Amino acid sequence: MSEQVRWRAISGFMLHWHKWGNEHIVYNAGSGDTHLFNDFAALILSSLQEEAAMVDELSQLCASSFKQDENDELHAQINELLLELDRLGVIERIH
Amino acid sequence: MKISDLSLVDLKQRLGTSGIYLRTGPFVTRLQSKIPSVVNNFARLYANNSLLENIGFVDFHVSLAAPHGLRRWYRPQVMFHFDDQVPFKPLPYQQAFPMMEWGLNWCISNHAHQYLILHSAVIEKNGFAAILPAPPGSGKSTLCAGLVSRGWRLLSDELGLITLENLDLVPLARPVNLKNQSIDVIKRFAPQAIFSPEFADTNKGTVALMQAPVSSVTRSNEFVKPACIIIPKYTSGAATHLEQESKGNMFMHVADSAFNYSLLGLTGFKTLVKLIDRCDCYTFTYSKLEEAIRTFDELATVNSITC
Amino acid sequence: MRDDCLIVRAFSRPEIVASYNPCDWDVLIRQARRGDILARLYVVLQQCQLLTNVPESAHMHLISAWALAQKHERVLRWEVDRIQHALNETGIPVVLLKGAAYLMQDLPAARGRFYADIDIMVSKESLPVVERALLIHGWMTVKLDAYDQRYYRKWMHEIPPMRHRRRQTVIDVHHRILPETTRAQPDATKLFAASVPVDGNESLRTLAPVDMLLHSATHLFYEGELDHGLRDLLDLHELFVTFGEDENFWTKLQERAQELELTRPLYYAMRYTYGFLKTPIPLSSMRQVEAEGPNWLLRGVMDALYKRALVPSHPSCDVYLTSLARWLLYIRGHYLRMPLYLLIPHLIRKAFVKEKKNK
Repeated sequence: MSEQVRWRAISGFMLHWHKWGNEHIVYNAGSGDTHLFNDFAALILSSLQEEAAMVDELSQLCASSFKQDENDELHAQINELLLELDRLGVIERIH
Repeated sequence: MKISDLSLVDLKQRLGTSGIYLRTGPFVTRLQSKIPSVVNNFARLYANNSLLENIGFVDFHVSLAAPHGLRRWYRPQVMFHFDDQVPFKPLPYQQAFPMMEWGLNWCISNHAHQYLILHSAVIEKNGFAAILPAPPGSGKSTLCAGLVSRGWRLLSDELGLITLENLDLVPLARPVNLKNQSIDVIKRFAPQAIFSPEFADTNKGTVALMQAPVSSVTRSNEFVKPACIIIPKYTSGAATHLEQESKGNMFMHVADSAFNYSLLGLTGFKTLVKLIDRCDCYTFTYSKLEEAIRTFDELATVNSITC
Repeated sequence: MRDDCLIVRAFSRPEIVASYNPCDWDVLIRQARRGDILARLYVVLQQCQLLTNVPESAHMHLISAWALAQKHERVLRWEVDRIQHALNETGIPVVLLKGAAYLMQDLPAARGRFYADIDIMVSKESLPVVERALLIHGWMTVKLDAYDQRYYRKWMHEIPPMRHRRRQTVIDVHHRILPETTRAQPDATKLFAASVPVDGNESLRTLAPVDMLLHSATHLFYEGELDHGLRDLLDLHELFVTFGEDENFWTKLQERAQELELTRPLYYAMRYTYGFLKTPIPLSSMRQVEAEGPNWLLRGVMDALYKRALVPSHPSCDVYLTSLARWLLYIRGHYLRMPLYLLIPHLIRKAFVKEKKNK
């Protein structure tokens, strides 16, 4: 999976949020689907709503937010999450 | 005037011709059928419901009838009609009465999107109302039947109707659907209750219907706001245990099992957020019905003090 | 036409609902539901500020239908988005047809609609590429037996419908708007050339207004099964009203109908929208199409048939010989789409298959 891909939250449709503690419920007004995300996924998704980003940038963000090391494992986790969010239809690649 | 005020002969005559107008909660149904088991079971299970006259507008026109042609005689069947349509495949003739109940549930879950419709039992005591959302086999109906036999009000055993603006729970107070072993359990638990005969070999196994308590029927125009959402889980031999459930998990559980959460889109999302926000959320494991009811009674007592 | 039918009256003269009693409302709701136009009734009553005249119990049914229509709209918008997503890389322009087109162009005809399949039109040459792209993105050809496969590919104008594996939504990909076997053959190239982009997007398009109207008219008056006849007539009404605001529209419409040899369906469209719904068709346009219309005898027969068939198939809308009228139009619809040597075996087979399914 190329790390040069730029991602952003789905455009043209709104995402609606609600949270209880570290549980984030997101309703995608486009697909009509509802998702339950943890803090990690919520951070990535909300960041991609603000602006498009690549894995590197998201990695930096996660590392500072969760006081973690920026390493290959984190990169891999983020990649996996991005693919899942893409499959769910809440984010898209920018061409 | 009540259904029980009509003689069986009169009831049979009306059901076989222009029909009986029945109010269950907010809905008026016109029911027609010449099938004896429908007539007899309706007379028994809906005895305490009001008999409506001179109704102009009806929400659901339904009838149960044997089909024309071969299946009227050979391995006889029964069909459920909604207005001039037949929404489901026919069932064996003996299952006409449970088919009526399932058909009425279908009418509501397909045509009442002015409500959020949860797949849940709803019960209430002393102003404390609990929603019991649970898949089939969880013991929801058994628990519901047990509770309403011990002073709890029945709003519904199957369809939790919630108004979108105010989050009011809307009663139906229709018969409780019991399956397989739970039929005997409840018959022993509530020997004074009125039951339909048992209907064998249905899609859900053996089913029987228990009449809604008369006070539940009388109070079926009383709304109440929910205090609690409790997922029941019958587990043989298990200790009675009430445990807090996270709101996020409860949201997803209720959304998945609701009839029209997806259909209602953003409105459904916002309504369910308000509901989960408002309610305490639990999972509840039990094996002994008496103990389960005690737990619920305690919850009702604690909560009515704080309300 | 059909002033006896509550639902027709409610659409042609909405203010009349103020005089309806609860029994009337009971029948009206059922007629509207049967014709799949209950949500559209809500829209009309709302637009005419007549909702205060609706009894509470009836109002609930309108609200419920409107909720369902909004869901349909959401699903359709998402589906169009997903189709674009799937076909983006091919660069092939797609023309949305019927309901999807009305919605994406924000036309009044879209309000309160229930959508079923999405219909799109692409050029004949790009059919294989489009089919392949859809297959890659999760659509599957609906399972059909060999006869039906031949029916679609050889005799109709479509590859068989495709259903999305996960979403269960269905897409019909056309390359012409009428089957290859039909007598009338509007030139698809002309339709493409005149098509207009949606929101400036060159690869997502809809037919030009005159073509959209003619397509809708042809679809309705070549169609055999008229369960949604009144709904389709309402579409035509809305299109006439929306596009008719441009005074050049009526001339362009006549010219285009001549060019595509679709004057007969246009005649019926004008005659019956005016007859049922009092659609404001300019007299001059009406006179012009009448010149291309059927002779007085055929006109009388068609009036008798459509008067019965263009209302919902609810028992309360039936009059004497309604069933016969529907049956005759059913046969006519197939006859117009298939030559006789294909039609008879087709009808026999369909009747036989229906019988088998009923057992």
